[in-house]
Amino acid sequence: MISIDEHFILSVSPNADTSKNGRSLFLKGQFSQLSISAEKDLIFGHCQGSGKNPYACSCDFANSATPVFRCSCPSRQFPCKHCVGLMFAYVQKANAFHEADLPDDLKAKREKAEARSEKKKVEIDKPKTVNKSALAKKIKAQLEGLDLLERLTHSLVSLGIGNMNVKSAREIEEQARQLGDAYLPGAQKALRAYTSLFSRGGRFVDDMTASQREAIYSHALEKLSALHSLAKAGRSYLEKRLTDSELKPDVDSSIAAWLGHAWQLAELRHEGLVQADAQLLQLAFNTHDDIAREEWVDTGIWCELVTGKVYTTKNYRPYKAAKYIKSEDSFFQVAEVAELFIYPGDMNQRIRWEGMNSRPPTMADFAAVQRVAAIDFMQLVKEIKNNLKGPLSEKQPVCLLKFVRIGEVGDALVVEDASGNRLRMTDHGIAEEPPSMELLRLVPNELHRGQTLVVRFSHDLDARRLEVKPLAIVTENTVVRLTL
Amino acid sequence: MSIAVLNETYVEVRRLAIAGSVVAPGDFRLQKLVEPLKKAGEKAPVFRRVAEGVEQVVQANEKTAATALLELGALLTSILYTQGATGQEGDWNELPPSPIAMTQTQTSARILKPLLEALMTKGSGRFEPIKSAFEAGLFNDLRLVRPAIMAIDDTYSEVRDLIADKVLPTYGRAIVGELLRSFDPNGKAGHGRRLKLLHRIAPETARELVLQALESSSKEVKMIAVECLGDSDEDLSYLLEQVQSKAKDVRAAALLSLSRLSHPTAQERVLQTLDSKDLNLLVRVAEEVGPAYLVAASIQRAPAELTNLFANKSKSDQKPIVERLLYLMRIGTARPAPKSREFLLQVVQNHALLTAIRTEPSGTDILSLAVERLSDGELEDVELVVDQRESLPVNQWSAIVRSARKTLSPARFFDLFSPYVRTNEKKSLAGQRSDAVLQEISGAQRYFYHYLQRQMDLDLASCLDPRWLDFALTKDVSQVVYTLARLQHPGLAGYLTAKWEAAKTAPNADQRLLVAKAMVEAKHPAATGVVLSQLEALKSQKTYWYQAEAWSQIAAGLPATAVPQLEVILADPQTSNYLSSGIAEVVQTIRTRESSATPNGTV
Repeated sequence: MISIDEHFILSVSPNADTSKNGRSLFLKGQFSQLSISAEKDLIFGHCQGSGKNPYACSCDFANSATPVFRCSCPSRQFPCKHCVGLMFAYVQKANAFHEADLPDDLKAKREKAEARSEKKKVEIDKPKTVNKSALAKKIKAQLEGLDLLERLTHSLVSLGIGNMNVKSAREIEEQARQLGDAYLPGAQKALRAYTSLFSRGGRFVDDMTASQREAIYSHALEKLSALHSLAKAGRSYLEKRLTDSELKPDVDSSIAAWLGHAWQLAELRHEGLVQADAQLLQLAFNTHDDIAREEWVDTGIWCELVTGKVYTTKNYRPYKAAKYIKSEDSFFQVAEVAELFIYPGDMNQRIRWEGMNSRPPTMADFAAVQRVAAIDFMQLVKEIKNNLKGPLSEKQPVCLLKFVRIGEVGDALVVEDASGNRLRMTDHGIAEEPPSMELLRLVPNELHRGQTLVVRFSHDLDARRLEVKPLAIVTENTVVRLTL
Repeated sequence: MSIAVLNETYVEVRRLAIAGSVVAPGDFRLQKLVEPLKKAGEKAPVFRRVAEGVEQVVQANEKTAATALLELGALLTSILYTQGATGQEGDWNELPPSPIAMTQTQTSARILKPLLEALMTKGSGRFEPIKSAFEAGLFNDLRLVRPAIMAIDDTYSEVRDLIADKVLPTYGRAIVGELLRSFDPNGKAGHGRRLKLLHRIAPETARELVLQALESSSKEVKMIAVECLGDSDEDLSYLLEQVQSKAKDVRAAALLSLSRLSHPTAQERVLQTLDSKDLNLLVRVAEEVGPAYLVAASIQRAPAELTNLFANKSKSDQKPIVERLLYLMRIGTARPAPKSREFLLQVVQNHALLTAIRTEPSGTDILSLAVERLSDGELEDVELVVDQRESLPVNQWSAIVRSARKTLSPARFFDLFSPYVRTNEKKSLAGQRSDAVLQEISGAQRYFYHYLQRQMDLDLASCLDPRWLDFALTKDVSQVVYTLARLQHPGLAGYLTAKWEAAKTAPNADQRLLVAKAMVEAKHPAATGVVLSQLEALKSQKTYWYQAEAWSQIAAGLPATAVPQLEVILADPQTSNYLSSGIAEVVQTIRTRESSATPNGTV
């Protein structure tokens, strides 16, 4: 039985245009021969497109966690607007779908998919063969790349942050390309993150005012220190890895990711970085343009309801391929994930999954979030500070605060725990995160007492202050989102 | 831990990083910090490490300075991260209760983010998304309240007007606090809009601000404040003062507010303006407030002015009287008034004298205004104008014929106006009258699109007397025949066949479209063949979107029997994209129409 609703369709649509166009196809009555399989797990039909022949589209829910969308149109988006329209047709007019035999090509495709799935299952259990000599060669190239990173960082420090100009930024970016050639894409992006401080809208600028420059100096110094630490820690990690007979990447820290290692799900599974039967509730969401990475990044903040851990999902959409990669959206259901993959890291580890089912959240889910929130702010701050001091650590971790009250002290908005410990609020978050602090003045007063606040910590290097940006309030029956 | 010395060291390291590590060796200010750090290191070892780092920087050479500075920077940053202040000392204040008290935040990021951007940024293309979001009820989200309030200052007038007039009032009194917080009496027009909105949603709260703004505020805010008065007789003295202001905008606002008061003094002052140079300011007063005493007094003055006009013979004397009379008429007819009809008729009756007055504005303008007002009036007014039609200037005929078609019965309209239709006179008076009638009953047919638009707007075939078709066929008035083609007539098929024979080889594509559409509407036996042949001819040509669009609209009226042939054209790889997508829609339209038809064949 297919149980989908409009929320589901919007969540699987690659972008807003696809869902809009798909809905419009349905409303225009472009669909014909609407059919459903005898097992009630696959819908298919024809959609009149701009071409002379209609497109044959289908949505296969044989495995409800990983539905398969097929269409004869040439679009590279999955699901395409025709499949999205077909789902809208099913949600709004299920009676119009008549039971029918599957067309032969669909049967064949289903069988192939099943065979592929079986093969995959077998491959999962097979030990992965690694070409060790090639890997050792790669590690040596990475070590040489780190030498380059160190040289570039030193030249930047010698030049001085205040003397950065368009020309020097361009020169550094040119040389940073070699880091990509040395299998260090992460280091390349970290270097770009420094040079991008001196750009506006992706273009380097020479006409920054003194106050604009002043605002980025501390940040720039921190980034240079991080690059220096990355070169040092990376070298130590790679040299150690060379001595390991298995040449395995480090799973206890995020250094592999910093250097640009793209973790495969099979690797994570092999390292035991998985959790079975996870239940995830999204607490906040953001999407921003990362000029340094040349990608759009969709970031989701989730609470795993069984363990109470706060995780992050990252969906990277490189500019060049953005059209073909599904953009993520805020998610209001509970995601039930059979196998949750957890990346190595310190706080708010990144997570991924291959398939999921969704269900509406219940009061028990909100209670589960409230239960794991920090009661003692000082203890939490201690942990946060301990984490922040690591040069390559997550600098803006997200945590849950079980607060007693939210109020004003002087001009500042403040959140307080049962022991009277206070944290000052700020609007400083990650890039493009909408201002949220003032929204707290608009919510009902009962939300100012005894709820759970989802916050993003950030340390202001110039003001020497650790502050929190409110992202959401979790009550006993809802998540009041303050950003996206 | 002595944070001060650490902070000082960080400031120096930051300074050197900005200047470049090449200047770091031997830096005097950094060197000075070694001793205090060492001293602090006796109690906390981490200071000793910092002191060592500082020494390494100071003692470094040009080559090693960068590494030493980065090491020290990383160490200091690490330490300072652990020293960030967190608490906030001071008296606790509870947050005041929120009048909005909204918790709805279920709008998805894909919808919300572009909307936030549209509200919070500048540039083109933002009005439509904001308008659609408002129509879809998306502003009922906590996260949009403040951006919507901020958008009241938007640089685009369409956006700020939509926000101020439609979006923000939906929040009602809940946003009073927010508006008050962001209101600056000395601000520009955006703050005037805030005040106006406050006056609309919370008049008693706005009252105090209005009174304050009258005392001291920017010109823009003051003008709005004056407009917001007039709900109470207490405002009278102030308004009487402001109505004498040197600024015309302020005088206009004061008059508007005075007109809302029922106090005799206020009415007296408004009436005084009828005889002053500010007479033109009363037009807005009459249109927006329309007090009966003003309308009556205005129309009462008009006959004397008309007499005065006729008494004066020189253009220079007539001009100010014409101007004044036009204003008096606009004020005096803004609302129904007993004397206004009488005066308008007097104007119409004096058409000969008025058309002779050729000032700028002219006597004809007075006549036009009178005809326009009477044409918009009751049946008997229209009848009166229609009765006078032959004595009125020909440039009034469009208005006369339009009001006659809208107001009189179809039969009477036909009886009165069909005799004016000519087919071969253009410039003469009769030709111009004929044009006015034909324009009204068939629309401008120079371009097919104008014709289609007019047909869709009016559906003339259903509101004209069927005798028009017979008349048009007899007199060969083709545009009327095309307009009424869906009415039945024995001579229609033959007429259209002849017209098609003439049009099919003519260079004017619009003529072909007009005849083909008429044939389809008349269910002409050759209609399907004609349309399909044209589509066949088009498919191998370079087709423009408007051609494909026009022929698709015509083809949509074909019967279901045409569908197989349409599909053949659709399936032809030669068929252009524009045409194929148009035909695909046509096929869908015909099928939908057929499937929703009742068994006896009617839809």
